[in-house]
Amino acid sequence: MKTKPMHLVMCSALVICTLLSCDSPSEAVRVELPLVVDASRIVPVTNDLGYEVTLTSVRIALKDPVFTIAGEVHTASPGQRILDLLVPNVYAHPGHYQGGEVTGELSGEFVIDWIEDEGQSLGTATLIAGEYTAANFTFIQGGDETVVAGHTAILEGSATKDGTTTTFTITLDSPEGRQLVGAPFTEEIKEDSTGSLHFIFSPLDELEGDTLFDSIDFESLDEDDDHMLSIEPDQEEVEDAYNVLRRKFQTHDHYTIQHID
Amino acid sequence: MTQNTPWITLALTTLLLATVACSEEDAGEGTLTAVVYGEEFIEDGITAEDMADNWEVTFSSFVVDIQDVTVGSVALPSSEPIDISVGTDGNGHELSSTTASAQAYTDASYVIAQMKVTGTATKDGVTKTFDWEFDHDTHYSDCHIDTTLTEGGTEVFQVTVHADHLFYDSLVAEEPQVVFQALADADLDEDGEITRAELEMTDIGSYDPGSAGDVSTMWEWLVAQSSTVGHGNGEGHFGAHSH
Repeated sequence: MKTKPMHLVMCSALVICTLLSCDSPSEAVRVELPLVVDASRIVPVTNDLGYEVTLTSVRIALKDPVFTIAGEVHTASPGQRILDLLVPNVYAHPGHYQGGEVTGELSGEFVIDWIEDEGQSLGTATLIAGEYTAANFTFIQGGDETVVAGHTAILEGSATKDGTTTTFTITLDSPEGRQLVGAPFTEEIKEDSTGSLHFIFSPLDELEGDTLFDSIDFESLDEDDDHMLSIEPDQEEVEDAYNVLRRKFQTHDHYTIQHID
Repeated sequence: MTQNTPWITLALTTLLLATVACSEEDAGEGTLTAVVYGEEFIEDGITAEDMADNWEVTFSSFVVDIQDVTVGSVALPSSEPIDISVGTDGNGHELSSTTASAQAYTDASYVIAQMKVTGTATKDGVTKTFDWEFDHDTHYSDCHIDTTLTEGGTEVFQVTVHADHLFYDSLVAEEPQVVFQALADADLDEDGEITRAELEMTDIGSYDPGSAGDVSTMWEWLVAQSSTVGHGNGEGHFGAHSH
């Protein structure tokens, strides 16, 4: 009898406060930044078998980069997800990615010639201000007329060991809808942030020190000793190398997003 | 007065709701039961039609040790390891049961402490046997499952084990293929038995581990997939971590 009136007062106050806060929803702050191709980390690397590998061309087809923050984000408007505030698009997997939540995006399909396109903008990404942790995107197979000629990626370059150089072309196909999740993007985007987001590809996994080409014995794979090697899908003689390369190419170890003011 | 009318109505409604909510007392108890079910894939086998490469898989034994089952705030008693390949006509095997407050519970969690999988795979007259034991704990949690217990009633929470995940060819694809050929090829001495030692010597080949850099052999692949088999009430998905 004594406690019930106090409960009533507290319950009423809580509900009324909630309703009052609903009366004045606050808009999330949107920031627009260009997403720029960055080839600065496409540098010669030495694989675990001692080959110095230099990439002369990196062409990759992908779509729909999105940017995530850690944990959940809530707005003052109950029931409305922050992504809905940002862009009312439909996603295959809206919301949570590896413990984060999508709060930024640049929709569209892109065939990137990473070295040739250095410094070029892919478009303007829209992000909610916040502490970002990661980026995701989906590999696609570009059109036949594009620089990836109907594939997901074509990497060209040379591998040198003990004075012998083998030039190579590596053609990779990712399964349809194969998403890459968790590319590092540890940046705070503030409401007054300017500059650009740099989309970086690197043959070196800078965290673990291994390379995209580890375990690839270029000379051994060059069976006709013409110092030219082609690794493509559905080639039985290079199947193991193809599998290893595609596996590494599809990890988040070789992609980074960096905000440069 | 006119301006204040909505607020007065709102306040009265709020007071009414609060009175009901705040004066709720003991709603009695019901019975909460946990079961484990391996679905037809484990009880009857995975047919060639269900596999992308037409292998047929049957389990002669599929023993799971499920511990620490909780539904909401209710911890159910522990249970013994159980062979879920034994048919149950869709009912599953009871793990344990307890009485609990009659109310709505909105989450669940459990641990698969061990899984021992024995069976055969057959295709075109070739038979491969396997006997694999996964002895790491996998904690399944963060699952929104509504379980409403009424006074005097019984509610069942089902731990559902999806055996086909063991044969997925991707750890990240939306719709991975269910295949067996790569496992069959891991029978390196071709004696018909696919052993853990052989799997540890076999690269995952074209399988896609995503960014899981510690998965490179077929045994590591199976261990990783074995930590994805747990679900709730059929298709309910959990967050899972192993150690």
